[in-house]
Amino acid sequence: MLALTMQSLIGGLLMGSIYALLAVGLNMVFGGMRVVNNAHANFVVLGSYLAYALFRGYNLDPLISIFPLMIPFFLLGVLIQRFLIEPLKRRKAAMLTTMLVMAGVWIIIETLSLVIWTADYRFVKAPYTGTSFEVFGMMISKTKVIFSVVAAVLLALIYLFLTKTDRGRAIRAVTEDREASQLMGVKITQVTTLTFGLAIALAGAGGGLMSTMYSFYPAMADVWRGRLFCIVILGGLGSIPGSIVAAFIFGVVEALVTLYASAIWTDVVTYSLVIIVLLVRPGGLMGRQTA
Amino acid sequence: MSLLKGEGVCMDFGGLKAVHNVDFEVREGEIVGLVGPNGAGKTTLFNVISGYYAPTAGKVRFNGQEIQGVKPFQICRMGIARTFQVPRPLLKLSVFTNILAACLFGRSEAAAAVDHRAEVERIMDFLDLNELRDTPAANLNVAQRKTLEVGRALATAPRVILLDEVVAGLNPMETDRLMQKVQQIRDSGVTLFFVEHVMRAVMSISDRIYVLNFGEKIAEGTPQQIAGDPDVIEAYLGKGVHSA
Amino acid sequence: MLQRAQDLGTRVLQQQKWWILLLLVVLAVLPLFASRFVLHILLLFFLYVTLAESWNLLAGYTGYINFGHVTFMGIGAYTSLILMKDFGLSPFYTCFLGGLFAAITAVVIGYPLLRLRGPYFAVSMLSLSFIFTALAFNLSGLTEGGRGISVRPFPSKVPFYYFMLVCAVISVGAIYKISRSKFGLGLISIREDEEVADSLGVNTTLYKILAFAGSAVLPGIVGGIYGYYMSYMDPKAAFSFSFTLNSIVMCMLGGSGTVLGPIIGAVILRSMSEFVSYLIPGEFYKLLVGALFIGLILYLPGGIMSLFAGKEGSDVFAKR
Repeated sequence: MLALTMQSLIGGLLMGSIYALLAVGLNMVFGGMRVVNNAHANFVVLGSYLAYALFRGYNLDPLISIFPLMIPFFLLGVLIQRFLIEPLKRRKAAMLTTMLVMAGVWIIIETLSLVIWTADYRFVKAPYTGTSFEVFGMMISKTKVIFSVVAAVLLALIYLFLTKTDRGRAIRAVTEDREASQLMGVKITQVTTLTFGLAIALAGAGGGLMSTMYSFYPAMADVWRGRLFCIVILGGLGSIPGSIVAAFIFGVVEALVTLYASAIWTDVVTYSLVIIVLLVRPGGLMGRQTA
Repeated sequence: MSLLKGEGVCMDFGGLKAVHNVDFEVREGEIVGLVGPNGAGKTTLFNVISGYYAPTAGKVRFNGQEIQGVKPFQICRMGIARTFQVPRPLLKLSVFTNILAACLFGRSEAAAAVDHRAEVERIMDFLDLNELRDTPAANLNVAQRKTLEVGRALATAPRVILLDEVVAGLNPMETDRLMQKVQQIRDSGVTLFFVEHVMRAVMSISDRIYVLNFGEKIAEGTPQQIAGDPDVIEAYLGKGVHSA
Repeated sequence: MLQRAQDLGTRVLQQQKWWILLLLVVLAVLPLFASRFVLHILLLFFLYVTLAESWNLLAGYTGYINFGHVTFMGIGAYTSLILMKDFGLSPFYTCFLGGLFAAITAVVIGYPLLRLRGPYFAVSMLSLSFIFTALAFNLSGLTEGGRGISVRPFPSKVPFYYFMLVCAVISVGAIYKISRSKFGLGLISIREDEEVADSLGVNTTLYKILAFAGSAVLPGIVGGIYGYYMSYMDPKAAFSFSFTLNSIVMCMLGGSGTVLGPIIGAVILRSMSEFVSYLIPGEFYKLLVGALFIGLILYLPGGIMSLFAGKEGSDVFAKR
């Protein structure tokens, strides 16, 4: 039983790294820019599709293709921020209008995916897909380990960027406290454009990596959409470490509940956890607790 | 008669003692000032009295009754009104409706049976707000917003009003005009407890003054007594300076 | 600004009384000569109006955004269909029980959770909808789990049409009445500045819970009727985010915090979807809908009703 628990735990942690990579991008936008990016999950799935296309067309392993892929995703993010988000912010529109605009983007991405790639399930069968490491009698999915390693590398790079560079520090400042940053002379527009681009790039990269793990279809984003928002809120808006912690909690709790109870109860437990945590810490685990 | 009384009021935030062991008393019909350097804990004390914070220790009495920890909306209905340091009008609503809201919700049961619209008109008239009746509060300038704060407080038929820096940011003419209204409010029987930095306002109209510094009461007395108190001077101007 | 738009809504409803009455009469006799298809379209339209106006009560007037609005509808749907499956009771009667359960859920969950700020409250409600979805899956003894509940379809669309019509009218009427009442002023004060509302004597906790429960009742009722109309309900359908999203979109497109906003939004959204899908074959029409939609929001972030807002204007409470 101990071995099974360990296996579950590790599986949960690996899953947590997936959630973490996806949630961090959403937090940067939702927490930092108060943009309800309804379409974040759709960018993830789009990343899967593009990685799939490159794999089919040029036999490029997603592990390689996600890096160049991050560039068009970054640019897409910049464009969306400039033309869709900035006009709303300038007019002091309600936060919810960003949700509506991104819902429009959601429809467009989903429909385009449907038209280009049809509703068939797609999947990238890389050489490591479906294989496992055997460690101390536990079976650990190779693909998930690779994902975690790459995710860890990406997150580490992001961490370095956010802590060691001026631009990165500016992003963190704005994420934590937009007004105060403005007062300190941070060029909000530049920073938010950079933030959005970065977030979308992360989403695309995450999706690209996931193409070897899950089969996907245009509406697959529905599965991730709500979950990512709940993870971000659990961790606390504006706290990137919070998102990472929350992501791992989600992954581990899901794995353990599946092991000890049954898979169908995971949602009840994880989402109840979100609510319970909020009752005790109204700002999420690591977010600001008072208004 | 003692209307509002604080006994050993303490308010701690984590490690910070924002208000420490403060005693005060405001008698009916008085105008009592509360002064002190920035960060002395004045607004925090007001927040405790008006129910936003339950004090970490100590009691607050209104008419002899203990009110610490009572919810803000109940405190308002008991007869303690407050204004905010930075005016907080209900932005999308007109001046009329802002005051109407206070009139509808903030009055005690006894005072509630009144012609609300007439009452609001009366208050607007008294404060010279008639021209701004239909203006959305978002379009008001600072002086007008401050006046609106006072108007809302009045509409709740209070026995005491906690005025938090009601003339801060106003030019001398606006200050004098508003302070005149404040005097008239006192003359009509409303007790006033007010925080203020603008010395000309405090000294000229207060019956008594309390001085806070770093959360503690360092002096109390009439304006003349306070002006000459060495602790007060030191708090504002630092050690080694004597009254000019 | 909102108050001027508000004023237009109430003015329309007051001065155009006769046109409204005429419209209602037309809608009332419509089933006599309309095709089943038209009834279907309208009935869904009324459903969405009800959902959007209900959402409007908590979001537009009180300022609390609910991302889990569909939960109330799902509670209603399951209440009615379970009672029909197990006891043969007609949802036309049991739907009110669904409304009651939805309201009770709102009170129970609202008391602790309405203390949360904006996005936290919104997403906590989303979490709640996921919890209910999962419970519907798991408590399969009660809910038939993932199989869903199938019931014998009712042979006519007409009673559904009338039910939905009445619910829509009630939802609009209720918002109208509330928006010019003391209760409504209290809610608006909470929306504008909750702390100030507190200091002015508004019992914000009570009012928020009342608004929340109020926003739950009609979706609960309408959920039972809708479930019966579809003669089938499963967890994914009953608690589907699309109902919440539609409510939000319709309310914001038209203008939240106004009486007519949700109706206008529903008209725009439903007609956009239906007509554009006629014009453009296949799935492409969705691209146009998405683009049109984005364009609309960018052009009018305050919704359609903001077109009727003047810079100054007496709000509905300040009328002489």
